[in-house]
Amino acid sequence: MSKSVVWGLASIIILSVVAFTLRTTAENRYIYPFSPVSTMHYVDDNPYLELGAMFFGLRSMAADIVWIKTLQYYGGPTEGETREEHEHHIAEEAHGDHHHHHHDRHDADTTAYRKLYALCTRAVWLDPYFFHVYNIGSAAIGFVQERYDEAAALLKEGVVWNYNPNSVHYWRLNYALAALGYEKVKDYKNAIAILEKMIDPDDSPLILLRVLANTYEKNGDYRKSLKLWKFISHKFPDQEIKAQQKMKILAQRIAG
Amino acid sequence: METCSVSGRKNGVNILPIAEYTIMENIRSKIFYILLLFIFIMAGSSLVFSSLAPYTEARVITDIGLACIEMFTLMTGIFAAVNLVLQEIENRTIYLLMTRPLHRWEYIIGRYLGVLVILCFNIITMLSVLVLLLKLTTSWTLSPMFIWSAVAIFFKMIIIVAVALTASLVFTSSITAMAFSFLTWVLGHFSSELKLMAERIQSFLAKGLLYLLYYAIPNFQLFNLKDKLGIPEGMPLDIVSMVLLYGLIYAAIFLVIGSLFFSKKEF
Repeated sequence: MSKSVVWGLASIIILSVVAFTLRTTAENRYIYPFSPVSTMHYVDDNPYLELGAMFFGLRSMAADIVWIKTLQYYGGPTEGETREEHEHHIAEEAHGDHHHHHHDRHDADTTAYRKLYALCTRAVWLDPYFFHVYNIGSAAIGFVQERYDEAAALLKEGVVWNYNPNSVHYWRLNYALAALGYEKVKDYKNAIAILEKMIDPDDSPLILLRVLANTYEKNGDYRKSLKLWKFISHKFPDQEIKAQQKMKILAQRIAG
Repeated sequence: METCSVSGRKNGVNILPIAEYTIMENIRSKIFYILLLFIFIMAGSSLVFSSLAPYTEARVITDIGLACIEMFTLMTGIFAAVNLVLQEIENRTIYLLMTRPLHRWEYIIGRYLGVLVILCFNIITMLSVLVLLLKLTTSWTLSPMFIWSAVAIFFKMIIIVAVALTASLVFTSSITAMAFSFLTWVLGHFSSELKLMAERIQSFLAKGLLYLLYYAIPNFQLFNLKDKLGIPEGMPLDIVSMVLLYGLIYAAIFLVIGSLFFSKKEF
């Protein structure tokens, strides 16, 4: 065996020992922050997205894709509703012809959008640190669709994965969980107290602002609800017709 | 102390000219067209996703951007590394080089560094486009973790290019070498699952083989900082440095193996 081969083999052994030490030290000090494949969630789809995400190290991007699919699902027709019926309802709302003014089109229909929770858990299985899935998903499932237990389960998962007392996200999830509990037992006064702490009108998603406005209304705080709908109407021009309908009803209630 | 070879030549003096030659060769092969593709994909996706994903536009564009940077660089890196030496053997230009006063390991290291310079340039250019798009279309702010995730992508390339180059020397077939490199990439990202399988499996032999595979393949998940951008506490910097050092050493092991194989080749 030539001298260069001996040197080569010796360096391979030494370098391998150093690499092994560095790797095991890093692995011991930094726990892999995602769920293993054995805990994978399924919806109707096959798990190609999850497997692809794990094989190529693209979990965060795959979670984004699932989240976009979730938003499209929630914006689309409900179960039992055709695409035409859905578009008709949307057109009615846009023209202010809708008769059920008190709630949103699919408000309080606890059977609508059944897959919402499964889709949200699929997104957070891929990326359990995806705050918006917990924040927006739980508002849609819990406050809008009134499936409180599913929303609470989603939020609890978010609280566990995102434990960090110094993080605003962590506290917002905790507030959402508490507000949901009060909303479930129709204790709107306490729900409002918490939602007000949790929601920043300039920063929070539209769905949360609508939740707060509706909770004000349920608690009889019509003036506060009206004020918030005015704010929504200014901040989100596409919500103007919906907000105008709400403001009209609220103005009537204040007057009457 | 300067190290000299038996023929009196200083070791390592030929590395830079070889690297420079590799860079010029890659520029001539129009490898930079991939950057244009990246710009088109990013511009398109940022327009689409800003309407599809309200409140998460910055996150979505960042994720797609970093994923594209990684995938484009991976494809460029593996393709360039595998064909580096094999093409020269096929074209017989290597015979000319081997007649020169050049150590074979210098040739390997020079070629390797040349590819890395090209990949580094590609990553920096694509990253600049991504940052520009994020600044123009969202209220995104640059975070240290974002920079570290880009650095980690480059370190993944440091490893995979070394693996691809060595595979091309060992297998002497570009298809086999590319398949091997690709498999290393995939299993490297699946390493946490490999470990889990090894822990759960009953058979002693299978357990041993899985552990062997687990430690033989680089743990690319350690470098996958782009998937950890949303984690509140991030990844501690001392661990990041440890991981990057591990990457350099892992690449060095493969380069030594590659150089040993190349030194034994008959031309």
